[in-house]
Amino acid sequence: MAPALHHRQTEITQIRRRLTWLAALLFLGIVGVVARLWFLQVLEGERYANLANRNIYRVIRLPALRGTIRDRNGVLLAGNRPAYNLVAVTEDLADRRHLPETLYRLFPEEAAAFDAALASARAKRIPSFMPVLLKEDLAWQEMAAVEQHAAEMAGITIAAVPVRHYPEGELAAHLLGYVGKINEQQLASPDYAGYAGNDEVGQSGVERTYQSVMRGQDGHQLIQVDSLGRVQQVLSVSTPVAGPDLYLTLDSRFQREAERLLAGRRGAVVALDPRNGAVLALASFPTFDPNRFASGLGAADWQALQSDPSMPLMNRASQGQYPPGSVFKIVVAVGAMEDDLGGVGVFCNGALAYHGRRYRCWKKTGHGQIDLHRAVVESCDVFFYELGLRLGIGRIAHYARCLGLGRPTGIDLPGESAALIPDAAWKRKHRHEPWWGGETLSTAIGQGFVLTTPLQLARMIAAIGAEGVVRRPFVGAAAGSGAALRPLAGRQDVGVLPLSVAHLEGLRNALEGAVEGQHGTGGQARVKAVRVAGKTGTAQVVGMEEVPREVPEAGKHHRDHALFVCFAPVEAPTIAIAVVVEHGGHGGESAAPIAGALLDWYFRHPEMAEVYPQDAGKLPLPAPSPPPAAAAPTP
Amino acid sequence: MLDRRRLANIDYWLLFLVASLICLGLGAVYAATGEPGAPLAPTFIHQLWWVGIGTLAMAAVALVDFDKLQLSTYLVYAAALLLLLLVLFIGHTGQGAQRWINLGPFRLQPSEVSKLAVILALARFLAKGRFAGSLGLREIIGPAAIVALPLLLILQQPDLGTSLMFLFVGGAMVFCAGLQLWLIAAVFPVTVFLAPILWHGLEEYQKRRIVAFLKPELDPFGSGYHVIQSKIAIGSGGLWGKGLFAGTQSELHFLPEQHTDFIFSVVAEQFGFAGCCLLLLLFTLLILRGLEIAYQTEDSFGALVAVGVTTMFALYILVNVGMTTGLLPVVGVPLPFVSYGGSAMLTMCAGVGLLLNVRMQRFRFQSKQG
Repeated sequence: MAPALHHRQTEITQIRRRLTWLAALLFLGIVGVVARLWFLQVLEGERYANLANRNIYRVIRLPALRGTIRDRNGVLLAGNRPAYNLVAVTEDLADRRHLPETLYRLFPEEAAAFDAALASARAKRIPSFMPVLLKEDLAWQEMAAVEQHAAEMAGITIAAVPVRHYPEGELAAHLLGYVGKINEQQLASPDYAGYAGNDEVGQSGVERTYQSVMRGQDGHQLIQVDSLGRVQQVLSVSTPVAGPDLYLTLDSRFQREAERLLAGRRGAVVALDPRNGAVLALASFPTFDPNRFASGLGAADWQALQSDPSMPLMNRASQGQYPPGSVFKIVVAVGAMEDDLGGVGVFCNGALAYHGRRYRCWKKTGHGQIDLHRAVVESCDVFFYELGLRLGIGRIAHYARCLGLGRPTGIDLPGESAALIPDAAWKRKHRHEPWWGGETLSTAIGQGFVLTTPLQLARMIAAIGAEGVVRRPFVGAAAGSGAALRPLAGRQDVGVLPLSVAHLEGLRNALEGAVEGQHGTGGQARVKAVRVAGKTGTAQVVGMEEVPREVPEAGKHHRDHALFVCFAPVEAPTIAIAVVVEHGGHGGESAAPIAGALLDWYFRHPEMAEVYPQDAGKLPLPAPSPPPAAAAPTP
Repeated sequence: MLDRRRLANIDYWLLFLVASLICLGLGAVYAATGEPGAPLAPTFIHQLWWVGIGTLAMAAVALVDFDKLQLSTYLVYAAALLLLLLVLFIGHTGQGAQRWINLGPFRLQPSEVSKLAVILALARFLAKGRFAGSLGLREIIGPAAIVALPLLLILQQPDLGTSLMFLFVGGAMVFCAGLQLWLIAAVFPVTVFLAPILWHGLEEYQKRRIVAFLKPELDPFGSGYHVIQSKIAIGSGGLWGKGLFAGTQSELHFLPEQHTDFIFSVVAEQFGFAGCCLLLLLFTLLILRGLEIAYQTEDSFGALVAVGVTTMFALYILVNVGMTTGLLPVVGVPLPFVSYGGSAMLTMCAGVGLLLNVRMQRFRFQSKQG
C-alpha cells in the first residue's frame, strides 16, 4: 500500500502545482474580458451610443406646401390641388406578399406596375407600416371604384397629396414654368443642397427662378421605432411652414389678351413698363399646359413635346433669336446722332452700289433726298446703308450693346439667350474670316449675323422711351405670406444711353412719325387719344441671294419675320411693347396690329398705368385672398 | 448520513456568492423580459421554478455521501449516455438542433446535465494515484474515450458549444492530473492540422456563425446581426448604463435571444461597465473559491471534481462574455446562473452542490489523519 499512498501524494502535489497554472490562465481570461468591456463601453461607448440611437430613431419629413403664384391683382396662376394616390400598406394586407385580387380586377392594365412597386419596396426594406405608392393621381371614377371595394382590399388606401395646379391652364405657361421631379444634375449641384431624391422642384419659368422662395420649410417628425420598424412614440414634431406666395408684375387679363392676339401663329409678345422694367405681359406661342407636368408626364409625352417642330416648350420671348430687321435702324440712328452724323442727307434711288453690288431699298422707286427723321419714319434702307458705312461695324456694335443687345437682359427667367451682335473680332474668332464691308450694310438694316430676342427689343424700345435708361426686366414683384410681403429684386437700372436730351427728343419724334405720320410704316399700331412711337421690322429668314425679296408665293417658312416695337404715350411712356411674328411677312402689317390692339386694351384700363410694384417697403399689393383651395381635403 | 459535523462545514461564502449571482440573474431576466408595471413575464416565472429545482438539486448533491458518490460515478455516466441517446430519438428540435427531452411542463437538455457526469467519471478515472501525476500518450486514451463518447453523441444533435465545453473541461482536468508537458505542446500543431477537417464536419449554420464572427459587417441583417446588435447594446451602455428598462437595444427588441445567451448584453446596456464589473467580480470570486476548494482537498478525486466544475463555470463565463462582446464566435453557451434556461441552471446548481460536497470532505480526511 505504501507505493500507492506515495502515488496519491505525488498526485495531489501535481494537481496543486497545475492548479496554480490553471488559475493564472483563467485569471488572464477574466482580465481580457474586462479589457474588452472597457474598450467597448468606455473608449468606444459614445460611438455605440450613436449607433443605438440610429437604430431606434427615424426622421420622417413632412413636406411643406409650395407657395402659390399670383399676378399683380392677386389672381391665382399656380396653386396646389389635392391628388389622390393609390397606396398599399403591406402590414395591413391580408397577404403581405400579394395585393388583393380585387385590385387587379379594378386596374387590369396596371398589374405589372403594381407588382414592380411592391417588389421594389420589399427590396429596399421599406418598413411595412410605410405606404407603397401604386398609382398617382387617381381619376374620380377610379377613386369611386376603390372606395366601393374597400372592404375586400384591406391594406389598400387612398392618400391625398398636394400637386401643383395651374388654374388658368396654358396662360403664361412659359413665364410660370412647371414643376417636376428633381433630376440627378440638380441633386449633385450645391444650389440644391437639402433636397431629397423625389422632391418636386421648379424646372422652368419663375417656378424655377423662385424655387427657393416658394419651397417653404419642411417639417420633421422624429419617431422612435422598434426592430420591426413599428412606431413606438413620436418624440418631436416640427410642423411644415408653407412657402410664401409669389406675386408677379404680370396682369393676367393683359396676358390673356396678348396670348389671344398671338394665338395660331408662332411668335412672342413682350410688354414692359419702361419706368421700372416690370413685365406686364410676356407671351410665347405655341404654348403648352404646365398641368401636364404636375401630374407626372410620361416619357412618350415628354419626347413628343421635346421633338415637336413648333417647339412649344421654348419661351420665344426670351429664348427665341430673330434678326431684328429694320427695328435695328434705331441702333444705327442712335449711333449716327451721337457720332455727329445726325445731319447727314442721302439721296435714295432705290439701291446703293457698293463694291460692284447693288444693295436695294425696300422701295424700288427710291425715297429721293432723305434725312434721318424721314428715313426712320419711312424706314429707308439706302439711308441706313450709308450711315452704316460711315459708322463702321465697330461703332454699330458698340451702340447696340449700349442698348442692351447681344447679352442677356438679366430677367428673372431661366435659360435666357444672349442672341448676337457681330463685329470684326467676333467674325475672326468664330468664322476665321475678316469682316467684309458689305456685311456692315446688312447689319445696318438688322440682317446678316445680327440676332436679338423679343425681350431685348422690348427693353431697347423701353429705354428710348424712358429718357435713355436701360433697365433690367423682371416679373417677380414680391413674396410673402398673408400681409407680410417683401419685395424681390425690383427695379434695377443697368445703364444710361449715351444720348443727349435733344437727340433723344429727335429720335422719339421720328419714331412717333413712324406710327402717327402719314407715311409711317407702323400706322396700324395707332390708338385713340394716345400718341404712339414705334418702329416696324421685316426680317428676312433666308439670304437675299436665295429668294427674291417680297415674293408673296414663297413658302410659309420662307416668309419674312414680322417685327414691331413701340412705346406709349410718347410724352411719358408707361408701356413698351415688342412683337415678333414668325413668317408673318411685313412688320407693319402683321406685328403692328397686335401691338395696336394691346395698346388699345391697355389704355382702356387706366389702372394698368400705375407703377407696380412701387418703391420697396410700400408695395401696392392686393389684399391677401383666402388661402388656396389646394389644401382643402375635398376633390 | 446527515451528521451535524458535516452540516457545520457548509461553505457559506460559496453559497453567498451563488445566491448573489442567482439574484442578479433573476433581475437580468426580469429586465430582459418584463416591462415596468406589467405583470411578471411567463419566462421569469419559469426561471423562478428552475431556481427552486436547482436549489433542491444543489442540496441533494451536496448532502450525498461522498463515498457513495464516488462509487456511483460510472453509473451516472452510463445514465447520461442513455439520455443523450434518447434525445436523438425522441428529442425536441429548436434552431436547427435536437436538444431537448420533454418532461411535462419542463424541458430537459441532457447535454447540459451530462457534463457533470463526465466530470465525475473523468475524476474517478484519473484519481487514486493510478498515474502518479504523470500522464503520457498511453495514459490519456482512457480519459479521451470517456470524453469522446458523449461528445460524439452531442455532435449528432448538433451542439458545437457544448461539445467544445467537453473538450476544454476534460482538457483542464487531464492537465491538472499531470498531463506531460510535451503533449500540451503538441496540442497546437494537432489543432491546426485538424481544423480544416473539422470545418467540413460543421453544420451550415455553424459555419455561418464562424464567418459572421470573423466579419460581421458582411451580412448585417443575417448571421452578423446578433454580434453587431450585441456590441451596440454593450457599447452604448457606457460607464454607468442606461438604467433598468431604459436599454433601447433590449427593450425595443433589437437584441436577439436577449434573455438566454445574450443576457450579458442586457446587463451591460442597462448597468454599464460598472454593472459588468460587479458581475464579473462575483464570477471571479466564485472561480477562486472553486479553485481554493480543489487546492485544499486532500483527496485527488474531490480535487479533480472541483477542478472540473470550476473550469466549467469559468469557461461558460469567458465564452459567453467573449461571444456577446464579439471576441469569440457565437456558440450557444449560457451565462451561468444568469441566463434563462432550466437545464443550465440545474447543471450549475448541481455543480455547486458537488463543490460543497467536496469542501465538506476536507475535514473528514483531516479528522481521519488527525
